[in-house]
Amino acid sequence: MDLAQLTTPQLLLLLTVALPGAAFLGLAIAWLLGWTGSERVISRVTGLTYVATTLSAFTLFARMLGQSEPSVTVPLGPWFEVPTYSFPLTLFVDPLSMPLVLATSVLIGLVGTFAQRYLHREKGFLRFFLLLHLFGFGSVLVFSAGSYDLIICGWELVGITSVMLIAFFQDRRRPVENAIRVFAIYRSADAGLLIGVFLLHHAAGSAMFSELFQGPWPGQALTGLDGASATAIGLLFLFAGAGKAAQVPFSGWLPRAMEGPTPSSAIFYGAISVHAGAYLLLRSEPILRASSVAAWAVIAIGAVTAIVGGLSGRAAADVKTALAQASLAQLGLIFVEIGLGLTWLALLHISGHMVIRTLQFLRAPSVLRDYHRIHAVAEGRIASDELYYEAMLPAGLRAWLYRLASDRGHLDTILDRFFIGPLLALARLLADLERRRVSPFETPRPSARLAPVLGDPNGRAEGGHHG
Amino acid sequence: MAELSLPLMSLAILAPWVAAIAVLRGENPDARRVTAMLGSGISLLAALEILREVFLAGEVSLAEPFVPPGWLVVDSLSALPMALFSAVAFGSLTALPRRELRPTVVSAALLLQGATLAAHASANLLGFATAWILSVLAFSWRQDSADDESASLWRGGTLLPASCVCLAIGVAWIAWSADLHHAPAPYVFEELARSGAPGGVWAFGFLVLAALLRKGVFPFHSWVAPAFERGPLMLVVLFINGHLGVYLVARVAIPAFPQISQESLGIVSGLAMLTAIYAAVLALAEVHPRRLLALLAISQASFILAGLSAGTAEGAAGALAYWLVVTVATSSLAAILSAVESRVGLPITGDRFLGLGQRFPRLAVFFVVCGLALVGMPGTLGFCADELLLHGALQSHPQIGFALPLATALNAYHLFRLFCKLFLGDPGVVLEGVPDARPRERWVLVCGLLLLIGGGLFPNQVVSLQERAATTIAAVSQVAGFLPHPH
Repeated sequence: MDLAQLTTPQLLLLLTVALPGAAFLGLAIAWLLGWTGSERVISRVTGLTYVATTLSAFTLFARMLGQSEPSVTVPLGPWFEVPTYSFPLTLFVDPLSMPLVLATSVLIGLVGTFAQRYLHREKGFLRFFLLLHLFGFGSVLVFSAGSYDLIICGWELVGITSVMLIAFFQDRRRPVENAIRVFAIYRSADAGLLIGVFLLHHAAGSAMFSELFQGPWPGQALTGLDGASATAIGLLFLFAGAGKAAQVPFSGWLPRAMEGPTPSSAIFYGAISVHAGAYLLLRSEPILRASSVAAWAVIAIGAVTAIVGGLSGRAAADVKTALAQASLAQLGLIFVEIGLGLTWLALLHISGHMVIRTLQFLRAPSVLRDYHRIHAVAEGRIASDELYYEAMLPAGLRAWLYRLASDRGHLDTILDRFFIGPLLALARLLADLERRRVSPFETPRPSARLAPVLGDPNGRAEGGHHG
Repeated sequence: MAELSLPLMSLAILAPWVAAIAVLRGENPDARRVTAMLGSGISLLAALEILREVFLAGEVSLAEPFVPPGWLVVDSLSALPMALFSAVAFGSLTALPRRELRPTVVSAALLLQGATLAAHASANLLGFATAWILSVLAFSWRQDSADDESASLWRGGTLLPASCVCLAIGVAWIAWSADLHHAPAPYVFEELARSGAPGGVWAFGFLVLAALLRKGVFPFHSWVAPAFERGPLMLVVLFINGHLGVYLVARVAIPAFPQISQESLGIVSGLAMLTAIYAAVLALAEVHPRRLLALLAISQASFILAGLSAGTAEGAAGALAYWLVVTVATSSLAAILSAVESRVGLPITGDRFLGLGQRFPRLAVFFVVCGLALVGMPGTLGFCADELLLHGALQSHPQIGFALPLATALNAYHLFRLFCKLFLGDPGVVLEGVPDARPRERWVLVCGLLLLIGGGLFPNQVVSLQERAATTIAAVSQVAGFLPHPH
């Protein structure tokens, strides 16, 4: 790659992707070398990074609109290669991805500014911003990848930063347990993406958008895939997208993810991370169009999620969970739109939802104060009219729906009973068989020896296994 | 045949052995460490010089000067593993906690280093088999640990001695078959690769069985987890990371038995994938950090064997990259776990969260990055290894495309769980004044990290180092006819 040969739009795109990554690397290396992390320096680096990223993304967007350039491609050459294979490093933006790249730059910058005050004197201040920059790099990479292979890179970075921020308050047990649970679901769903991309290579011989899809987005023509392959790959991408976007049956992780600090909830679960799943399906729209089975599966999952999310939100007891459930419902509707082929509507819906939900999450800590202020301005005339749609339903059905909503559609129970439980039972059975195999040599494990040090005189397994 | 400029292979092998004898005499642990680092370091420098000379020499193999021909030869396939193993041994000895510096442990590690390098440098089957047995003996040497209640178990029970017996039978079978045809026994690797080996399916079977036993491939994996749990962690990880089983397959089994390999390495590849999935599922029921690390190592290392048997340049390059990643990452994880254990003061059982990250933030970061590299996180060399392996197996072994993502997904979960157990949660242990990563630990771990992340960001440098070896393996495989659709 010769930088001098790149055009201005190409350089702008490269800059947009590289800046958050450079900020992460700079801060991480400084910390490894012994720097303790001054809040002022971190804030300045963050501010400068996202001002520059936003400016370059905005300039690129303006140029694309002004000069009617439908897309910008930056071929950076092979990342690695052997004589018979190379991994092409290609960045690509078009009318689908450019708005999302721009929104990502702006929203991360805003959330970064908000977090500078929100996390002031918090001991994990540097950790938060390191993860925010890595997340910024990963999410911009997802939206500007020129191939599914490169999407995987950004996708997994988004996943790991997400769970590390759920466990941000690391001295409490619950956030850490929730982070483990979310990570398990993320990785299961990621396996769908990896296998899907592998099948894509197997069936079509490439995972580059330029080779798979012909013409401008939307309405691109699909090349090199037959109907059966399109169905299998479409369903696997749906599996991956549903995991990332917390769609049914994975929806249970989203309320758990609210354990992280509010700024990360806003940017991950209100704005960017959850929409990456929808983006994957929008990008794969030609594959979904080639397979009615996959398209209907997207509609079905989206519709069920919208219903479950809507219901659960009405039974949520805290504002962040209510917002998470509202996000789920909207994402479900976005999935329905994608399945129906309403691609522009879905893109507009994503963009609007990102912005409004970020604002709501950021205001969530002040919601009571806001309410009291409005109440005072209205001279105490804000009062509930005590009218709910549910009141029109029979009492028995209402009670049943309440149970369903308060247990979030029983989705976690279903996953635990029908998937995680049997898998753990199998693992325990295998472990038991293993122990019997080596039993002639086995002596009791020294598990009790740590107990006195840790202050647990019984050496009781407190955590046990977390499925 | 061209020769090395100096008797570097002898130096690489003998220096740790001399140091092994010297450390047995020393009383002071610090002096013991210095002696061990000196012996291991000289070996590392010699191995690095060998690597440089091999790559300058190009395609040809280099013989050892002053040694009879046919005994010590190095080429592109063996030079990099030699340098890698020496580096890992040197790093492990440098980072070893002071309380682990027992004379027999350090001495065994040095003997193991010399024996493993001897196996890689051997130019014939007899030398290789001798070095193999020596390395098992070094590993199984009776330790002076007071709490070593089930020594026979962590030393591999009967499985490691069985691997020696299988290898010996395989070699004897080749000699006996040659004798039946009144031909001299073809022990030299070059000759074996050129004209094939006699002994047919039985000789091949015993050699492969020896490899499977040593590598801990299902159903012979049961010695690995107890070894991690009960043995000196550094020594066990060093033994596992010699990867002599894989080397035996690449160096002897495939080139010497091309036809049989074509028909039967699919079974080996299948067993490797089964091991990967099986160990990953088994780990779901495990909380003990050392056993979890063992299952992770077994599972991820299985893909080296699977990649080698894919029979393509990408598959072989992926397998070799995996070799590097698994070796560096598991050694680093073991070093961190040992450091944490030595600071906490007692073995860690994984029953509860320890919250050590607040006290040891750098160790926590090293742990999570090395772990994520092991399971193929983008930006690390593990990701490139995954990609190469998947593409290498695309046509010949598409089942790897399903097994690899599933196993790595489960392994990533185990790794994150282990990280959380050790470093996150409410700090249950009061460790006032206990330091985070010490300088000697930090430098070793930084080197590992640089390799994993630098190799991930600029993988071409690493891949090109291994390219010649990968091409050699792929060429042998293609001669054997593995590839249904050669690229």
